Amino acid sequence: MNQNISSRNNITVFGQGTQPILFAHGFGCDQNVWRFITAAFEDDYKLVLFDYVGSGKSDLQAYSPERYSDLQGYAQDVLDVCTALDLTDVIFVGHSVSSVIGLLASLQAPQRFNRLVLVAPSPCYMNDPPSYQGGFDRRDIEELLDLMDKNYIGWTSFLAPVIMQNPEHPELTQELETSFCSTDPVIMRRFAEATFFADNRSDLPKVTVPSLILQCADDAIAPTEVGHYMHRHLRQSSLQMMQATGHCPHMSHPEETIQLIQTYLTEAC
Amino acid sequence: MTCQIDELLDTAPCGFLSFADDGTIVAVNATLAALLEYEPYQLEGAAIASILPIASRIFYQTHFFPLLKLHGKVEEVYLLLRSQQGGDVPVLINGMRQEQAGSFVNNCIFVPIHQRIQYEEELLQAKKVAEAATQAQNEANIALKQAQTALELKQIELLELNAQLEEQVQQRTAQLQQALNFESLLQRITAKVRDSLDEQQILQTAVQELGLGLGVEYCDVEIYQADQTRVTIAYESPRPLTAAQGWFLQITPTSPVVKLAFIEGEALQFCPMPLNRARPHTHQLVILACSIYDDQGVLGDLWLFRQQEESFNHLEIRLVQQVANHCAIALRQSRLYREAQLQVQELERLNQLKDDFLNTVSHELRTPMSSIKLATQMLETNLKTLGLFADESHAIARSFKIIREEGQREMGLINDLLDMARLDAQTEPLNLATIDLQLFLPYFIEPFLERTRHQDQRLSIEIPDSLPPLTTDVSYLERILTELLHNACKYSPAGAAIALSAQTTPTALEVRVSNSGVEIPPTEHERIFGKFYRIPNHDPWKHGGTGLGLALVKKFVDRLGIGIRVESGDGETAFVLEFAIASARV
Repeated sequence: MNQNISSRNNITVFGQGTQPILFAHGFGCDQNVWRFITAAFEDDYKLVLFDYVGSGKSDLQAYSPERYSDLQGYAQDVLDVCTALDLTDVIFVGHSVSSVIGLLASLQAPQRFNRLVLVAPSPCYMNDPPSYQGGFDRRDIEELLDLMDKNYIGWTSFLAPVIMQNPEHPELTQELETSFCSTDPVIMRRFAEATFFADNRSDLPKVTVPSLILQCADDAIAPTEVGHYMHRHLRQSSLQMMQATGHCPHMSHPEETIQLIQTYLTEAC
Repeated sequence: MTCQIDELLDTAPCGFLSFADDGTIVAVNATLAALLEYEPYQLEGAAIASILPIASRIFYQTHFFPLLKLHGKVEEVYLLLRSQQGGDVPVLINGMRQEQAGSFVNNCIFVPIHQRIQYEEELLQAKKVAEAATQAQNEANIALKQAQTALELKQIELLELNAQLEEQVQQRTAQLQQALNFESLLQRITAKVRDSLDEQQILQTAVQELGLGLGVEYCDVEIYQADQTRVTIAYESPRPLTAAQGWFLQITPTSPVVKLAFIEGEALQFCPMPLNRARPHTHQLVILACSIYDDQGVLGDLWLFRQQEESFNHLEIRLVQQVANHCAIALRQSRLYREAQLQVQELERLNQLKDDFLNTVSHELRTPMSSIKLATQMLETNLKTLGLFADESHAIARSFKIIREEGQREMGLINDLLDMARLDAQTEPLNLATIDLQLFLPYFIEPFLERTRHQDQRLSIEIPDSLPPLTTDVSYLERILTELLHNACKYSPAGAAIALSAQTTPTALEVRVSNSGVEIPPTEHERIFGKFYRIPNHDPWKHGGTGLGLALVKKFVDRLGIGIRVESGDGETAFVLEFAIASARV
């Protein structure tokens, strides 16, 4: 394994299978978001988790404003991980913006990917009237950036480590400190801009790898109509409408998420 | 007590809201509902997104909920809530996950921060301004730094450019200096080889000057033999320990020698060659070879040897080629001069032979004839004394007369032949003198007056008063006029008129000898000047002659550089001598 990439992207590999599932987190989080999902796949697959440069426990020194000014830079992270581990026949599971990042990676190296699982994806978050409703106007995104700024005032003054009594996962008491509050607010802001101002609609028809679209109900970030749009423009795509509400079904409704992914992968075989 | 706590919670001075993982609001206290302008029952069961503006919904999905879910609690998260009337309500939220009846709920308290958020906004704004100022300062610093760097780079570039230019100027100056040096070297060599007709000296000069001027290790010249099968190393400089000079290289198929005869005009630069038989000391040296050639072929080659690290530049090659060209010219001149010298020697030898012949003729022919003449005169005296000549019809008298006359004729012939030979050889220089024809001609004609009177002929002389003085060889002129008058007397019948006259024309001074009673047909005009030519049936006085008279006249005329023409018609024949006015004026 390429040690540089391994530490740069904080790669974690486990599981008893041989076919790799590569889990890619979305904006604002890190690889920990997959913890409610991974156990179900450990026995049959080789699970690969990583943090994008600038997120989680990645190497912040490796961050380059130029490279990560758009989603291609993040797609290169995915390809770097694949190359470092020499992954082939990859099942890529990406949440939110990582769905598009996975699509872009598959365009550059389609031979590496077997399936793409797109959790709450959107090719373009901004509205493009009259034909396309991404869900947001520029003003909304600017307000989000403002909200983030104000919260990072809080984070940066949040000095004392929090010891949490967490009955679910007591081992993760340090997580807030390490994965979220310590994230560089400037990098997060740039990631937000790269995410929410991106428009990758024209890339959809070029994708050749088969994909599963998991569309949540009442998703404020990826509305149902966007899921349909994705399905219409992605060749060999399946669209699953979830019972799960919100934008994070892998956290809020892990069982349904697991079941849909397993069904898709089983049917694909 | 429990009921009291519940009531207290409902009326607590902060908002309380409990929601499930799927975002459904499970419980809300009256304080928060009032803050959001709802009745509590309106919110219970609703989605939490309904009290969040869009930006807060994103933040909830991307930050708030994942944190709460992963870490079990959040503290002091800032969010903007949306009231039923659409107003913004800024709040700080502390939240905690708790298990309740077998499933998890997320309990949160909401503290409105209207005033504080204003401070924070001002703080944030101030921070942004400060950041912008810092950013601007940084950018300005960076720009300044970049400008300084660019300036320094530019200065370095300029310095480098300047250095390059200076180096170029120096190189160019060095090249020019070298070219000038070579030019003067070439001039020196050219002057020396041009002034010399000695082949050895030419080659020595070229090799020596080239060897010193180009600072080579070794330099020599090969000269091809005439049959082009051998080369000789003719001269070397500086003289090496093992002199190759005079070494002959036999060019045979089994023993090839680098021969440049086939590459006229080219200079060849060689890598070091394997051991060179003729020049063992040049082993491992770089070689420049240049043929010495002209339009008649290759004369030889110039060979220059230099250390392996160096080579010959184009200026040096051109210089060697030019020297080779000058050598070719000089060698060719030298060889022509040598041939000319040999020819001069041969001519001198032939001339000597001719002189010897003339002397021999003079001695071997004239001496016996002089003895015969002398003996004849003595015999005539003796015979006269004996009275044997009293009767001219006596056989002795007749025989004696024949002997005397034929002897004189033979003497005349020999003299004419000798004159002819001398004139042919042109060995005697002209003896020029200036004369007045008015004085010369009457004096000259005197001997012929008696003779013409004797033959009943009329000899007249006609000379204008003003004639330019004439510069010529008087003895030759006398011989010419004597011969012409002699012929006039000889070939004119009795009663004929013979005239000697002189006159000037615009281009010439003419001296004319004419006689009447005789004509020479035009076809004969050219032929009468040939040796031994005689006009047939044209000797009324039976004088005889050698047939060399007019041929001699023509020789004398040519020797004097004057013209002669024949005019014949109307019973008169005239020979006209033409002295060009220019020469007449001399």
